Amino acid sequence: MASRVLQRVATGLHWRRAGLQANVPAAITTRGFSGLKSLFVRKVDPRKDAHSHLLSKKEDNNLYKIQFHNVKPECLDAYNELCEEVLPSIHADPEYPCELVGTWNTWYGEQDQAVHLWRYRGGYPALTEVMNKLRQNKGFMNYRDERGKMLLSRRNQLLLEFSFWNEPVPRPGPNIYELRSYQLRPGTMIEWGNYWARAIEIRQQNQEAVGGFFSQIGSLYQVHHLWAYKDLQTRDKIRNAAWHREGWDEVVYYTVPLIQHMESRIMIPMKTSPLK
Amino acid sequence: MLMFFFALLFASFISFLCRRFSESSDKGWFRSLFVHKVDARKDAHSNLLSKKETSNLYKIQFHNVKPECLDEYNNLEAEVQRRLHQDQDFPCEVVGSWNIWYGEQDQAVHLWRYRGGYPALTDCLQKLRVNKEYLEFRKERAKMLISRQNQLLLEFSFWNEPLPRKGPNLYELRTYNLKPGTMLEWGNRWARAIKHRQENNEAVGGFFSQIGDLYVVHHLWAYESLQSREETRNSAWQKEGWDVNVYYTGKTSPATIML
Repeated sequence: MASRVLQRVATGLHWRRAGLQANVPAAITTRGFSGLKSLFVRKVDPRKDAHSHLLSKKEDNNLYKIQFHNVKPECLDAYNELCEEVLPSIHADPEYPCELVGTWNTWYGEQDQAVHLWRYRGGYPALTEVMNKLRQNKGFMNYRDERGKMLLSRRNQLLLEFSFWNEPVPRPGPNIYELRSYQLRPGTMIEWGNYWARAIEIRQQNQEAVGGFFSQIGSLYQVHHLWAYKDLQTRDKIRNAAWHREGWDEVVYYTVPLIQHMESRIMIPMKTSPLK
Repeated sequence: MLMFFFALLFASFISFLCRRFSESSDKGWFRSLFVHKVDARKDAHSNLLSKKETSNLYKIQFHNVKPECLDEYNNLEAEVQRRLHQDQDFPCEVVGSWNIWYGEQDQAVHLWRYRGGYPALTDCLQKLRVNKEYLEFRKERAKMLISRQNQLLLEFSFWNEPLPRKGPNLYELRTYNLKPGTMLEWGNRWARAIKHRQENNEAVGGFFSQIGDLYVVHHLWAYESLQSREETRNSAWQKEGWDVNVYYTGKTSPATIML
């Protein structure tokens, strides 16, 4: 009897089906009493394919690596100098199929932290090739030894780009960058992607959108959005202006429940960063 | 009689569902019954929750100091803060500077105010970058630190602004990591309850984060002693409305309490 009531209620109520992609989960399915248990568990995307096929750019095969290095506060300057020598040389060397997308120091958030973003055009094969070559490179091995003495800890993740974001390309400065990192509830990545696919152009009005990524290796169900602004005041203005655009309040309302934890870092690009 | 009772129950249940539905996502109105409700809002938190009449921006710094360097660190910081605070050229003020007594020890917490918001912050930063003495200080300080983090905060509109006060006091910083989407609800509840906690001047300042860890709230309290803290907090329960406030906000997750 309960299921009949639920069915009547469900069809009687009007809700928007806002033109979502075909692989998005269908609206509420009514279940019998035996399905009552599932009411108490968070609904998760039923999907037929991996996130990497559903969400990332089809036309190219870019893999991204993000590194977070917690540097000993007294070694920060020395660390930056060391990186300034080594990182651009790997970037420029055609032997290594990788590019430095950006390199920053954090300004607000976790301090004395360096963030590096790399692109491997060619995906996993390119990544493996670079790794094998670097292992043979004496200069690089020395750099790693030196660097090791200056670090408290480090972690990294392999990421893919969302298909609906623009690719990060070099830009002239001076800018400040904001990296907003979201830890999503497992199972909600597709939903996140769908809402942002519709909303991204609201946040591309002032070229503030640099890149949007989701993690594949490392902490999972993590999303990073990278933004560039002239300064903090401009950032405030641009972000506030988004609220006057139609659809923005909806995106916030529907995507916020998907988040377990979020953080924001303001970062200053290093001299040698292609994203200045 | 029984049928009537059940019909009534069902009717109220259905109307409850309908009300919840109208507040929830179209994708899962069932699901929304069991997930915490998120604020539907039309504007940024900074416009909805902070003081309109001023544009004060606050920076809180947490410095984890090497235990053996704590005294030296304190002397160094005190000297630098005194100068920066008094120098008219730098549009910033030290609101307070503390060492942790109970909680994460050997940690220093500094709270700065920038009257004039982000432009004042940027002004300060640019001037400090070219100040030789300050850069020296930073180098010296870096040797004494294990790690540091900071956040930029705004004040809640309904809290009093933190003003200098005579001591000796001890301070409690209660830090809450809210569930994303619940900041407005938090603000609304506390706006009504704050007066219960201002009777002994214990309320110093209430802030929410804008940059750094997000959905973080800090409440800063001052007491004469641990004993008077206990008494003041207990007496809040005697006031009407305090239990309601705790009930509704307790569902968000209170995190570290530092003293």
